[in-house]
Amino acid sequence: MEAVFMFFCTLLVWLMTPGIALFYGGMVRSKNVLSTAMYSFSSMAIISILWVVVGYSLAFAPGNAFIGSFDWTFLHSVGFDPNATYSDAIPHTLFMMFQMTFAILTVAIISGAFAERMNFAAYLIFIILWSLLVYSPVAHWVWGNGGWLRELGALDFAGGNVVHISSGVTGLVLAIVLGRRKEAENSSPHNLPLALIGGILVWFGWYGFNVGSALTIDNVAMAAFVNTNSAAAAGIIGWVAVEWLINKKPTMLGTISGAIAGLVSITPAAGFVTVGSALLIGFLGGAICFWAVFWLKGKLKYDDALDAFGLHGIGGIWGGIATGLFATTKINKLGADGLFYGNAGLLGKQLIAIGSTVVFVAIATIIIIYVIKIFIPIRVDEEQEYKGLDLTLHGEKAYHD
Amino acid sequence: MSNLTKIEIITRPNRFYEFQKALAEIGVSGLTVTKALGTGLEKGLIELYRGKKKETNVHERMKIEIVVSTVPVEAVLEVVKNTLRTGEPGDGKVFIYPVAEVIKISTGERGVDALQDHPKEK
Repeated sequence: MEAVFMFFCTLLVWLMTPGIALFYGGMVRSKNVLSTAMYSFSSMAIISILWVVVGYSLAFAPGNAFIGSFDWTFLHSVGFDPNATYSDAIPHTLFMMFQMTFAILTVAIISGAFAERMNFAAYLIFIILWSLLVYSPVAHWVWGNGGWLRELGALDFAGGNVVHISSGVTGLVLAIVLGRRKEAENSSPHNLPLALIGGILVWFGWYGFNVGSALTIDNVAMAAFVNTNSAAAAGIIGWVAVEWLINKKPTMLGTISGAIAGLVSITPAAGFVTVGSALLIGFLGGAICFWAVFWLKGKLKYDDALDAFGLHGIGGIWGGIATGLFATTKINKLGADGLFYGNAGLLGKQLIAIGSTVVFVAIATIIIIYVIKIFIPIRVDEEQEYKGLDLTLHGEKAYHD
Repeated sequence: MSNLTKIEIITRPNRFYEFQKALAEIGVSGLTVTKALGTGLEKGLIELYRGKKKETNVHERMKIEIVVSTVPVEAVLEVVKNTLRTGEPGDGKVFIYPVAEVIKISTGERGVDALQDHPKEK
């Protein structure tokens, strides 16, 4: 039964990346919708291969505190028999595939930050290097056998650090290094119903993401299920309440953004907190992410086109902190108590996990970008940007009148 | 100089069918209609995307072109007044031009004849 459950969860998480393609695709101008979707689909192509060849081994094979090893390259020793370190119930190959969908999704999330202006060839090289040098190590720190954050006792249920903080911070760095879009002020979503469909698929897939992270159907998995949906709903309320107050109008893009903000926020805490805490985490997550997107981005003037940092970076950081506040062993015996349950130590560990992830990811990303820059331009030229990436980089148009 | 006159009306799209009906009653059935965008005195609209404001004062309009000969121009203007005027900014404008010649492509008729709905049987 566990294997069937995990197979289904893996399929759900797989669906999130095409979901991101539609979600992001709808939010750009009509001349860039295909190039934006291409970022997601190329991550499915490239990371899938990278993962079975070496990425999974670097993340999950026995190694040191910071990285795995090459022992499981080409899935050597990864077979149908469970690997007890990760799960004694499901096939090791299934665990590997489940983790693969996370690795793919993380790369796709990043692409929201630099949509409408990054050179496609540079993007492909970037994701290969980033996945090996950033994603695999951070996944190893948090979940890997002997990973230092896992040993430290920091909690990250479904990938707050690994997926959301790492993708968000990477997106921010890329947005800053690439610079603002020429027409950033005039760029508005060309098809919000498309973004809505994508957002729904992302939300749907998130159940596999969070519930499946329990790796079995038990009380923790069901707590994660309830918490995930509750936080998403509360995230909508949090985002839209602030938006309605400040801008006088509740928007559809705000509701779907609020849901995603709530989902990101609950991800690290999903299997560790009560439903009351989940509601609060989601509600505040929606409000905080709206603040980041509306105020912080405008103030600091970086052009995070589709708010990869505003939603995933900020939401992930808040979720990591919230785990340190609200986690309780009443929900998960294998977890820990947070500050509000009398254990201030967990919050400290959470802050170490967040801080180290932010610093490592930012520095490694900067180095990768500057190395690529030596060989090829990472940004398209002005003419290409003006005409749109669909036509100039891919030779196709999304819409014909 | 011919007595052909072109009347070009730029106005809100939402009153178009009422306007077309009233025109038919005074004998005008041939119209050319184009969806148009324009700016004028009407206030702008604000779009909001994740709190990012985009203010635009370009509004959706309809451009209606009519060429008349036997129907008096004043009668058309009366219909315009009765059906399109709200008194608010955004009602639009009417432009009137003399027309040098009209040719009906299917029959080759020229001038006033070219504008008739039913060509004379010959």
